[in-house]
Amino acid sequence: MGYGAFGLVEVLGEANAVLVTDQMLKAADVVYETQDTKCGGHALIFVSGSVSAVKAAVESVSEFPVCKIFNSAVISNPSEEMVKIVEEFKLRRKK
Amino acid sequence: MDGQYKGMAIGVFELDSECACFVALDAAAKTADVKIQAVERNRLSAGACVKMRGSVSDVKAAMEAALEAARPMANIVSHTVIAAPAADTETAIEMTIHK
Repeated sequence: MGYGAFGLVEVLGEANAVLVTDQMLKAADVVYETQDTKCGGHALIFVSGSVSAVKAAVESVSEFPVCKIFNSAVISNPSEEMVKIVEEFKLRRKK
Repeated sequence: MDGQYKGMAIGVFELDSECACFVALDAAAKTADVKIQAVERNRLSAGACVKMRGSVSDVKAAMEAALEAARPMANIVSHTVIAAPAADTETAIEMTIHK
């Protein structure tokens, strides 16, 4: 399925990731893809949806941060290599 | 990982933040026809490294685009392009992927 855009937000730790994910899902109609955390390190959350929805979600997080946001980005019209990597991350989390 | 990447040039860059890695990865994939072999978080706190494969000119162009995209977002830990990897370099590259 085609992804309109990916939204990436990087926070510290899995607990903050849940907080930010919840805030993003309420802010706009985006789909939670997956998240990549490394034991105790930074958590990177992936959400996808249309470009405007993803932009709104990421902006709502950076305007009203629930915790320290290290980095956030919106990647519109992702290349198929990027989609392949995100799919791989989703599989990796399923194990 | 299967052997589909045998003999392709390798481009590896490591940034201080994984978010910038994905922005750079996307810019690289859009600029040149490179295959992204893996994105790995070998560093505990934040950073991640991206492994790109393709022909030498593609990998060089993709590397420039990636570093250009990543410069404002994060500082670049290291980057390199290996035109003709030796056989054992392939196994070294694949070893850390499924950690």
